[in-house]
Amino acid sequence: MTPQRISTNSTVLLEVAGLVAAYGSHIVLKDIHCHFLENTITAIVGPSGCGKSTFVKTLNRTLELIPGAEVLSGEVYLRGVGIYSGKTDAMAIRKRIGIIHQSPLPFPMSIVENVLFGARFHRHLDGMSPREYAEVYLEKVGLLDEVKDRLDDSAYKLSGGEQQRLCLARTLANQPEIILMDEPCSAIDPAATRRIEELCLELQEEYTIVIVTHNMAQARRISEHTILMFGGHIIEAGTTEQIFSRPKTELARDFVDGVIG
Amino acid sequence: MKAEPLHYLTNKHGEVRIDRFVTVAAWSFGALGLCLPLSIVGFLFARGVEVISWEFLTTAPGGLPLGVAGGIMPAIQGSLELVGLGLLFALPLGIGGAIYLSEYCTSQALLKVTRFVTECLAGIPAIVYGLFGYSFLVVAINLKASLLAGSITLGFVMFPLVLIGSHESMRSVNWVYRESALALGVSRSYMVRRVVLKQTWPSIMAITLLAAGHAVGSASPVLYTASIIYSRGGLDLNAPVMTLPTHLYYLVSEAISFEHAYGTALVLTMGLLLLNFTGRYLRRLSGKYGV
Repeated sequence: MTPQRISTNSTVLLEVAGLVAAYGSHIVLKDIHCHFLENTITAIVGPSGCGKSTFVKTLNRTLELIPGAEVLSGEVYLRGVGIYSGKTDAMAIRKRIGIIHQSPLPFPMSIVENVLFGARFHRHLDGMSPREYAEVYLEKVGLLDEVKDRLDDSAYKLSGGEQQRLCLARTLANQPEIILMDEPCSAIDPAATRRIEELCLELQEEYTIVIVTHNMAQARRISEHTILMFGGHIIEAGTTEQIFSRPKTELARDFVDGVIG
Repeated sequence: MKAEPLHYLTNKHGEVRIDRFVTVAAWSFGALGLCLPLSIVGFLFARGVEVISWEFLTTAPGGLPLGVAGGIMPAIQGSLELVGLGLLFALPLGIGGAIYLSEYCTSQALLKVTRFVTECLAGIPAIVYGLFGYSFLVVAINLKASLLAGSITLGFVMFPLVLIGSHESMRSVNWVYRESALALGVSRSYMVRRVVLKQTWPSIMAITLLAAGHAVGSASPVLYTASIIYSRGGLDLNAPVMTLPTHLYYLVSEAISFEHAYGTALVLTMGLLLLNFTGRYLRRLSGKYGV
């Protein structure tokens, strides 16, 4: 069964205005403007090195965790509040806007403790037993049936695809509004990829999802909106249907047709 | 079919002979390297095992001159007290310093200078620490030769070892773990506690035990800062204590009892071996979750 896409809700949840970011003296993002709609999957596509991973990390202030990387100017507004404004706390932002990285990276602890890692810090467990809390999120990512008899085993005993879903459960347990995914399927096999894609479609009922992918077919399968990046710029943004069937620029047409990328 | 001459299947040129020579040499040096420590332990065992008894381990030295009879209980106790209290100084400073350098320090210059100075400290001969302890702790701030002065001095001996070892093991934790943890919106100290220290504590404990082993066997830092020829044991910060290495030094240098000296040396060596084996075991633990 393929879950149906949900029709566009028009609330702008996240808005990016004039964002410029650099690694040391190398400018990677050059004046980015765009927005993301609530409960929608937006795909960010573009060739390697176009800045899409960097871009997605600026959306929850995780870019600044990389030594030498920084946002030079511009602002990202979450429900109208600037996340770089200085009045907001990076930890609170990262809790509201979770991120899944390319390679799944469980922590060296049990499956259940992995899920609870952020939730314990953010005090989300109050009243609930830790195990029950973890099970809710393992269920959400469809992992519970596979692991319910070995919740205390090391997370490293899981397969790559399972580890990626565990990382997703760990992020969901933080109770975010937005989930950023930075090429979440690049390190896992096709069956596991399909599983993650199905999950994205299920999760958009509750969350706003931004997914970076170099796989055009994946963007087409799951996203409602697409942002096409090239050389640190956004060259086109719109509904996925429009970008793929009626690209406005020549560069976008070449990319969609596979001439470049 | 005509048989080929034998050299068809053999090699006799220079490289092959060199290889044989190197192989033999490597095995010989390896065997020698293994025999040396084993023979030392074996020798101590052969000479010292006769003295070792429950009484030797649990009574104070006696007889005239002092040490020809009785045991070494106060020396064992004193050594353990010195190192245990010394760790109270060395552990927070060493591990705290390592956490700062590995997780919080953003200045490369400060990092390099601190590491350089600490590495120099680790290389300073133990007697220099002894002199420092004596002139600063015992004389200048008037702690007298006491358990307190000795343990602070041993703390100084262990501190650089603990810091360097802990820093190295924290540095070996892949940076992406930190990024992943912080991306979940947790604080740096939570991340350090639950990700970095979680992975490194067995090796930090192992390093601590090795440092403690190094300290417990050194006579020179405690010779003028803490040790005394005879005590009855007990725990008094302001009183001097007997220690295993200084007791050994006293027994041998005054030619009191070589028998008891060997016994003391054997106890010390066995203690060190135990520490090292525990350290190795702990180091293996760090791989428990298959990182």
